Amino acid sequence: MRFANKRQTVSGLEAEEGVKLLIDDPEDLWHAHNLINEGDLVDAPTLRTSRVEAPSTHNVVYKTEYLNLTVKVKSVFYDPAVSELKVSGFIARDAEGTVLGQHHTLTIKWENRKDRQLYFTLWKEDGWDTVAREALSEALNPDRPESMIAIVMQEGLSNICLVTGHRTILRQRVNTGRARKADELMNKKVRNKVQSFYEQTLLALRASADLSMPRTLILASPGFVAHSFREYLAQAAIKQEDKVLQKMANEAIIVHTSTGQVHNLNEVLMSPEVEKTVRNCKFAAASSIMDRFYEMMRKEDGRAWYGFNTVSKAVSEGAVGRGGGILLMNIALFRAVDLPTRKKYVALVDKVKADGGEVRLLSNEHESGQRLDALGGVAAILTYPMFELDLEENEEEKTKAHDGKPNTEEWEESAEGTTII
Amino acid sequence: MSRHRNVKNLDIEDGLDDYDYSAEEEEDDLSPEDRAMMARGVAEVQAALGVEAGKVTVAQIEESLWYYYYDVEKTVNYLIKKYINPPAPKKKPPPPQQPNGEFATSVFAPGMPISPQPRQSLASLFWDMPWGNIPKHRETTFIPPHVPRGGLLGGSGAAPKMSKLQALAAARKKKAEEKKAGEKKAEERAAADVEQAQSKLKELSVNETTTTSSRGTASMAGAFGRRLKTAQSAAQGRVPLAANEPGLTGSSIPSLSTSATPSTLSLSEDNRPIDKAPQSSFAQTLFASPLEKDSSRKRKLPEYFALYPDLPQSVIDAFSKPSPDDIVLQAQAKAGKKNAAPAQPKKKSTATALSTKQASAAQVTDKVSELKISDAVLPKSRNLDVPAEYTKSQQKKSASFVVVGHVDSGKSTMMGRLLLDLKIVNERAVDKLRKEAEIIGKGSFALAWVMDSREDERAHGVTIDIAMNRFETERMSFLILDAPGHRDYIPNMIAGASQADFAILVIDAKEGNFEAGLRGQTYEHIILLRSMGVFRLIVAINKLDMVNWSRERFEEIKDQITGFFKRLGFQLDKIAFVPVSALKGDNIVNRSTDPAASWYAGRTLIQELEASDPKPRELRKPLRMIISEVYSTMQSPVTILGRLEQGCVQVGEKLLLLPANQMAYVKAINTNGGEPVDWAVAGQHAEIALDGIIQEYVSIGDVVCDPNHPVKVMKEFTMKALAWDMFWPMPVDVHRGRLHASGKVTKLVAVLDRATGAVTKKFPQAIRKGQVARIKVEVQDTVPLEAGQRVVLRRGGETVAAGLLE
Repeated sequence: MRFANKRQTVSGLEAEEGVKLLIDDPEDLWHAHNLINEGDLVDAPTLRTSRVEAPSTHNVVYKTEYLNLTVKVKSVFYDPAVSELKVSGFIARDAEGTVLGQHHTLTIKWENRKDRQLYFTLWKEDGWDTVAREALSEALNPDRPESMIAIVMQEGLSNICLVTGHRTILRQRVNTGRARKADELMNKKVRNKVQSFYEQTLLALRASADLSMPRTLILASPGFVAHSFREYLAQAAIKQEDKVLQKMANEAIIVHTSTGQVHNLNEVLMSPEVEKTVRNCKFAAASSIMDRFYEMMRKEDGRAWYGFNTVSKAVSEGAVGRGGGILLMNIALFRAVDLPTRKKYVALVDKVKADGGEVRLLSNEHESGQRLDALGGVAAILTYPMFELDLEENEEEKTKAHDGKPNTEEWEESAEGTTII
Repeated sequence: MSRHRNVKNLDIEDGLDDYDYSAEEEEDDLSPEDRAMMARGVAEVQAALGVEAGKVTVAQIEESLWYYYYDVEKTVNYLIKKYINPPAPKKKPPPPQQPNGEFATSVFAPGMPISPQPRQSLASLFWDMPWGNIPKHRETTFIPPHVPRGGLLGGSGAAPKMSKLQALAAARKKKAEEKKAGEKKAEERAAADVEQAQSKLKELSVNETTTTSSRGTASMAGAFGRRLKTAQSAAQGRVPLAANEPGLTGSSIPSLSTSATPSTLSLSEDNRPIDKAPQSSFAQTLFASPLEKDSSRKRKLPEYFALYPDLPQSVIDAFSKPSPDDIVLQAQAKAGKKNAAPAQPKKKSTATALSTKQASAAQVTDKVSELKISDAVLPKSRNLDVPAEYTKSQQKKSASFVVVGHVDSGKSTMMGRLLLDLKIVNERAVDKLRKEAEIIGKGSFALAWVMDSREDERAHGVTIDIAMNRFETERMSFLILDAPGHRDYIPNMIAGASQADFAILVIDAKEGNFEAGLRGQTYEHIILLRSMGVFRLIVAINKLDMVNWSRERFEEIKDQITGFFKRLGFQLDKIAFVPVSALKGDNIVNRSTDPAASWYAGRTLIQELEASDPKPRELRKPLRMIISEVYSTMQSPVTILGRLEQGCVQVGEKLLLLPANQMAYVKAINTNGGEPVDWAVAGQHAEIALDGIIQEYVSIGDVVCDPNHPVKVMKEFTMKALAWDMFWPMPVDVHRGRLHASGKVTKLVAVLDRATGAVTKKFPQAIRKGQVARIKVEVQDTVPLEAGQRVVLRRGGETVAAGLLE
C-alpha cells in the first residue's frame, strides 16, 4: 500500500485528514481491513445499480454504472480466500443518482491488472490515533518478504499453509486417515494408502499455491513423514518433468514438530532451520516475543501478566515502561469493539508509549496472535516484577470473560478451512 | 368333484392366516425403538384420521404402519382407501370397453366378455412386417404337431406303454377330463407354457419378494408363449406331464388372471413387440389400408386371444384365487425366510400385499418397488440379552495389555520373544526375519519385527503404530498392544493405553539408558498411564543380561521407580517387578537358566500376566466404542475395529457413529482376530462389519454408540485437570484414545484442592505443576465426549494436563 500523494507522510497526517491509499497487492486488502473501522468514512470507486423512472412514460430502467461513493462504514468483511474486502455502510456524500443515507457496499476486489489501479480514501471517525497511525505505517511498509509454503503433516493428515509477513493462511487440509498397521502381506495396501496420501497432498499443494516460481517450502512433521514426502516430491517432479518442483523439493526445509496439527506451526517458525531463512520476518519476531512471554510465565517471576484488567493495572502504575516493558495486543481487539472500548485500548497503548515501553500489535492470523488470543488478547511483560495483580478483580474478570468472547469467531473461520493459524 | 372346484372352495383366508400369524409373532420381537416408533406412529395416524379412527383397529394401523415403515402419510392414505372409504370391490368387472382394448383384458378375467368385434383378416397381423429381414421374434418356429401319447385324451384306454406315474396321472386325468371336455386341450397347452415360463423366471428372480412382479411377467410371457420361441420350445417337451398334473394346471391359470389386474398392465406393455415395429410400405399395400391401421392395432390382440372366449364361469372363478401351488410356494418361502431370519418389513409386506390384492394398480406398483429396495436386507437383530449370554457362555477371562517404555528399551523384542516362546510364532518365521534383518544389518531386531510389520518401522528400527497380537494361556486370553516408545508417536501410545486393562512397563537396565529413559519417555508414559487410569503395572526390567544379572542394579532401579510411583499416587501393591532378558528369553515364559540370575525366585512375566485382573467390564451401560482402525473386508467395505469401552453390541443392531452423526447396521462381528460371533461385550476388541454407511463418514477416532443413548458432540467442555506441567490459556492437543483433536484451553476457572476438590483460588493466571484445576477447553472441530471420560492435553510434545470431563 502506498500514499497517492508521494509527499504524504504518516507523521505529517492531520488527525481529521482524509488519506488516499493505493492498493498494490492482495496483502494490502488485509491491511485495509485492519485500518477501516466502524464509523469511518471510505470513498472508493464502485458499481451501483440505480432505478431510473422516465417522467413521461413511468418506464422503469435499471442502470448500473461506475461511481465514486463515500460511505459511512457499518461493517467490514474481509475474505482472504478470494482477496476481497467488502465495506458496507450508508452513503454519506451526495453523488449523482443516489440519495444520502442509502445503503451501499463497496467491494474492493484484488485483480492483477496493470490498467486499473485500486484505491480508496479514508477518513477516521475519531481522527488518526496512535493505533491507527501504527496500523497505517505497518500497511505502508514496503518490505514484504515473499510468502512461504509450509506443510505441517503427520500420517494421513497434512495442512498446507501460506506464511506471509503478516498472516498464516491455512489453504488446504488433506485428511485421508492413517494406514492400518497390517501384516506383511498387507504392506502393499499400506504403501498404496501412503502413496495416495502423498499424491493428494501434492495435488492440494498445486491447487493452493502458485508453483510457477520456486518458493521456500517447509515440510514439518513428527517422525519420518516429511522426509518421505520430500522424496516423493522429488520423484514426482522428475516424473512430471517439473524443474521448479524439483528445485523446491531439493531445497525444502525439513522441520521436526511434535504432531501434525496446525498449531504446531510455531515449532516450525521458531526452529533454527527456518529462522535462518526468514530472519527479519515480522511473524518470527512476534513468535519469539510470545515464547519469551511463555518462558516468563513459566518462571513466575512476576513480570508476565495477561488479561485486560490486570495489564491495565500494571500499565497505570507505569510498570510497562522504559527498559524492557512490552505491551502485547491483538490487532483484532481494535477492529471489533465499540468506540469507548477502543478508546480504552488506545489509551493503554498511548500510556505505554509515553512511559517509553514497547507496543507490539500481533495479528491473530498468526500462530503467535493465536497464542495471545487465548490469553484474552492483551498481555504485558513488565519492567519490574509485580505480584498479586490478579487478586481483587476476579469478579471483573468473570464479567469480562463473559462478554468478551474473544475466540469464537476466529475458530469458526479456521473450521471452515479458509484462513488462519 | 372337480379339482377346480376344490380350488375354488379353498379359502384364501386360510392361507393368509398363516402369514398373519407369523407376522404377529414377529411383531413380538420388535425392538424397543421399533415399539416406540410404532406407538408414536399409531398415535399420529389416529390423530390424522380424526373421527374416522374408530373404523380401523389398532392392529390394522400397526400392520399398515409396519408395512409402510412408519410413513404416517402413506399409512393414512392406505387406511382410508382400505377401510374407511373402501373403493368399489375389485371383483366388479372393469368397464367392458377399455380405452384401447388392451390385450390384458384377458379372456380369462371374470365377467369380462370380449366384445364381439368384427373379425379382422389375419392380414392385420402382418401389417407392420418389414419385407425380408424379419426380426427374430417374429420368425415362426415350426413345431411338430403334438399328439398326446398314451391316449390320455382320447379315452381309448389302449395305451401301449405307460409308466406307473403316467398310468396314475392318466387315470386321474381321465376323471377330471370327462367333466370339462371341450376347452381343455388348448387350455393345457397354454398352461404348460405358462408354467414353464414361470418356473424359468422364478429361477431368475432373486427371491420371493420379486414373485409378485415376476408372476405378472411370467403370466404375460405365458400368454405370449406361442410367440416366444424359447418359452415355447422349452415347454414343448413337457407338455403332457405338466398337463397331467392338476396342481400345475391350476397354478398357471390363476397367474393369467392375475395378469389381468390393472397392476400388470404397465409392466406388460413393454413386452408387446408387435405394436412397435414400423409399418413397411409393402405390408401396407398388401394388407391394410392406412385408415384401418389404428383400429386394427387396437383390436387385433383381443381377437387373437379370444380363441376360447366361452369358458364356463366356474373355471374363471377357480382361477381368480391363488392356486394350491401358489399357496404351497408361499408357505415354502415363508419357511425359508424363517430360517434366514430376514427383515420384518419384507415378510410383512408380502402378507399385506396378498391381503390387499384389491389395492389399486398404483399402489401395487409402489409396493413392488418398495419390496425391491429391501432386497439386500441385513440379518435381523436377535435382540439377545448380551450380558446374560456373556455370563452364560463362561468365556475364558480375556484381557488386553499395553507395552510401554522408553524408545529402544526392547518392548517389541520382548513381545516377539513372548510369542515365540508360547509357540504362537514359529521358529522358522523368526529365522526368516532374522535373515532379512541381518541383510540390513539389524540382526537383533528380528524378534521385534514379529510385531513391527510395517516397512518404515523395519527400515527405521522403531515401532511407529500400535501392533496388536493375541495369545492364550490355559487360563486367560490376552491381547498385546505394543506401543511405540518414540516421543513422536506418543499419540499412538495414548491410543494403545486407552484400550488396555493393564500395562507392562519395559525399562532398559543398561547403565545410562535407564536414567535417560526416566527423563524421557519412561516418565511420560508413566504419567500417561496414570492419566488414563491404568494402575496395574508389571515393570519388566530388561537387558539385565547385559549387566550380568546384577541384583544391585535391579534393586536400584526398582527403588527409584517405586519412589516415583509413590509420588504419582499409584497403589504399590498393584505393581510387580520382573528382571528379564527379552533377547535371550529369560524370565519371560521360561525361568532363566543363567546361574547369575538364580537370585530371582519370583514370578515370570507370563505368570504375572496371568495374575492380573482385567478392569471391571461395564456391560449394562450403553455402548461406547472408539474406532481404532477402518478398512474394507470381504464382509463389508466399511469394517471398523476397536475396543468396546462399555456396553455390548450384537449382529443386526443399529449403531450411531459420531461426529458424522450417521446410522449404520451391524452386519457381522468378529472377535479374537477373525472369529465370527453374534455379539461382543465391553473389554473385547471387535471387528464390526457395517452396512448402510459409506466410508467417508467413518474415520479413526470416531465414536460408535447406542442411538438411544448417544454421546454428546461438543465444541467446548469443562474438565477437572491435573497439571503435569505449568499451563495457562493456550493452544493444546486434545487426546482421548484414538481421538486426536486440536484445541485450546480458553479459561482457567479455579484451582481446586487436591484432596477435597474445594475451590482454593478463582480465575488464576496460571496453573502450576501438580495443581488440580477446573478449566475450560475448546476444540477446533466438534468431538464426541462425555462426562467422566479421561482426556489428555498435550503441547509441544509434552503432556500438559490430564483429567476427567465434567
